[in-house]
Amino acid sequence: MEQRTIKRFLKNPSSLAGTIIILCFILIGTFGPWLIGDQGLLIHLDMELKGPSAGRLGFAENGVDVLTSLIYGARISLLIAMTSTVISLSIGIVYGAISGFFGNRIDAIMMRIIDMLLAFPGLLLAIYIAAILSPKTINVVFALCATGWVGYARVVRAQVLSIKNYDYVIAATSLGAKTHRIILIHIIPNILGPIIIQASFGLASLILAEAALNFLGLGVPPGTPSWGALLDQGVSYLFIAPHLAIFPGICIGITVLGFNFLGDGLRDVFDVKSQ
Amino acid sequence: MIDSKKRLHASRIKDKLIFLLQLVTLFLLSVFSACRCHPEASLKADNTLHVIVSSSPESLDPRFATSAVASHLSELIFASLFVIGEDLLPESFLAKDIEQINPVTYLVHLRPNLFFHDGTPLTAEDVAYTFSSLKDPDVRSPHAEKFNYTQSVQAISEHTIQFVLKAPFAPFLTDLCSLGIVSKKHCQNRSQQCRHEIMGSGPYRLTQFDKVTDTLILQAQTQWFEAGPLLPRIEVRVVKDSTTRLLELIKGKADFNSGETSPVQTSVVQKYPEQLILKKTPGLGFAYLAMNLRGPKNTKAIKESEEDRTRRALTDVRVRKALALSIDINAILKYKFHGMATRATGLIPPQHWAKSQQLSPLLYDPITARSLLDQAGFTDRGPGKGQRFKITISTSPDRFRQSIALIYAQNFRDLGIETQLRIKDFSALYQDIKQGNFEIFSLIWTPVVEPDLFHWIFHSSNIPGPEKGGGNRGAYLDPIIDELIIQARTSTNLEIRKVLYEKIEMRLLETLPYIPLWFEDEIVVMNRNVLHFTPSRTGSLLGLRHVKLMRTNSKGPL
Repeated sequence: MEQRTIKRFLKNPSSLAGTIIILCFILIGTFGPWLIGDQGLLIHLDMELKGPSAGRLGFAENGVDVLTSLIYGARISLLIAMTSTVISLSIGIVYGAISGFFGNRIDAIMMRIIDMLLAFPGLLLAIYIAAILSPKTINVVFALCATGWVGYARVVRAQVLSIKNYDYVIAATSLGAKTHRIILIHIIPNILGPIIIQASFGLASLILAEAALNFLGLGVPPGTPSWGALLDQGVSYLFIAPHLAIFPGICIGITVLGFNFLGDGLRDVFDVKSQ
Repeated sequence: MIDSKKRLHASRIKDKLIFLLQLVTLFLLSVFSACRCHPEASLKADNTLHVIVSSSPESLDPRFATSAVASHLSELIFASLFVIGEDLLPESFLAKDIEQINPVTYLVHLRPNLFFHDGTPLTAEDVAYTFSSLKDPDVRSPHAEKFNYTQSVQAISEHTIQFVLKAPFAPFLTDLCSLGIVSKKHCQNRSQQCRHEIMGSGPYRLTQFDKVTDTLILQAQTQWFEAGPLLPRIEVRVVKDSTTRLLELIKGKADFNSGETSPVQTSVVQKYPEQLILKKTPGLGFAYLAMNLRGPKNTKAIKESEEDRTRRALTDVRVRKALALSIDINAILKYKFHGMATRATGLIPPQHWAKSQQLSPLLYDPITARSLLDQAGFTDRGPGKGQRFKITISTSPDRFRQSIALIYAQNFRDLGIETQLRIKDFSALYQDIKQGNFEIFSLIWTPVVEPDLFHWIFHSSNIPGPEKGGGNRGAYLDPIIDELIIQARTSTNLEIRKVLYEKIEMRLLETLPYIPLWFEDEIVVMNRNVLHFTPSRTGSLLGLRHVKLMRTNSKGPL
């Protein structure tokens, strides 16, 4: 990335705020569990559903500490969202680049497959897949990736379609460069801007989707701390322990906001017209 | 120029007026809609009891009803010959009395002047038809095997039915409480249609069943035999989520919640003391942990698989006892049930006529539990190696049940047993259990009224197979228990039966095919305007017929 772009990125309040928020959550997710320990995740029945006045952020079902659950939940949520994004992005880039670069019949067939996948509401398909598979973290990632890559593939294809006729690509082709080299060296590095923007927004929706799956009991195994599972408890005990819905709600809200800020900022930074 | 300014000014005033008008219209619309939707206003205007239940009844015909909700609603529409009283012994209902001619022959005498909802008289022919139709292959009743022990059911006069059994069978009278009487005229030769077109014999007739909104309307039967007025109208609605059910009561959209109320939610009722009331009674639902006692699948393998190690562990009574001692049941009763459950020592509930007072529960003792596991040869192999052995607890997705299963899991982990939960929706879980595809599962037998349930659950003839059903899902095999169960079901003397059931419970507590947990209270949450309702231990809704409604802004009690 050029130094000028980095400067623009740092000067943009939206991207800066987003980066700070996300960095905070990444640090909490990475080092928090190490600092706080796992004692809070053990069952202490006498503390069940006690509010924040009983200590820290209160206690959840079976007396599990809410703060500890949120910290461990941050790790799980970010891990699932980032892994799903990396996998979806990889599939989407390869698929979109092939489709856009080769065009014609290959493009038509590949795009119809995407159309078919887009005909299903993404979250609904993820719920369906997660319901079939047993509740495991890896299965959540799989369910989220199943439709997550489609958006990236479309963006990549559109970018490849516009870039493949640029002079430097034609020049590389004329010099006899192989297709994979043209795609990897000449095309993909030049379309990374829109993909990164898309990924930052995608991360936000994946955090929400992961929370939704856990909220529906289709996510991580029971007993594994996660924001969505805590939110699910919060709904069940809304009258007795509203803190169970409030704190994970705040965490999900702030993280999603952070990724959206980052996405907005990146869009401004990469948008040449706005310069 | 001046004209144009005036026009502009007039146009602005016009715009402002339109905006103001829109605001007023919006305000009025909100006020009207709020008035229309105010639940209390709509409830207080009628004399209907609004009941909410947790699931839609699969059938109201008693021959097809299997779920608790369907059975309880069916009781209101189809009356049975006898009903279970609060002492858990049968009380006469449609039947006036029963006469035992010899160990296998009974005469049931009906009350005079009994009618179906269409006004046709209910006779002995209808009773005989109801019981005979269960065995009819065209009817395909899920209860077809229930009355297999009957040789014949015949109407010998207009009001007398003769039951002849194949052999003496003590639970016969209790079984008569479980089947409502259907109309022979209405159902003969049209079993499938009859299943949907309800012609009942109970205190309420079904006037509407909207399957789209899951709403049932029940009207009091005018020709009902009992003295005193019946509650005129009951509207039953299905609300699946327990929190929403509670909200409906708080908002005044419902009067009576007969769906499962979690003990934790009962504290919410205390926040609305002027509006809601909670009534509870000791329930008959036996909560237990069942273990698979089938043993290793492959006994000849050179290296034992983890699955076979677990299966071998569960066949060892010392391991089962260790698991039982590792669960702090009293803490669960205190903190999860808030005292709304009673500790179980066996299948028979406390205060039951057959319950032995000599049994004492296994107390929480993790030290002894560890020592028992060591004695059984399941020493700790350390983390990552499955520790002592690995175990999977199967349970339903219900939040409350899941949270309790997590407690068992932690208790087992504390012993050094690698434990994981397998959550499946109820139908999948039930399928697994029936096929023996489990290690440990947690469920509830409900309601335990007739102790002959032991035969279904623990007798070796009821171990389910590929082509055979049965309730002995853990494959418990004990000739002593088999013998005691047969003796108890063939004796008609209550005292003898009681002694035999005492022996059975003691033996089961020693061999522990099940870990007995608790009996959950029957909890009913209702509005204070519902008077004279006493919850039944069996969860029956028949008590609703004597309910009075006190609508505060109506002309008085209805």
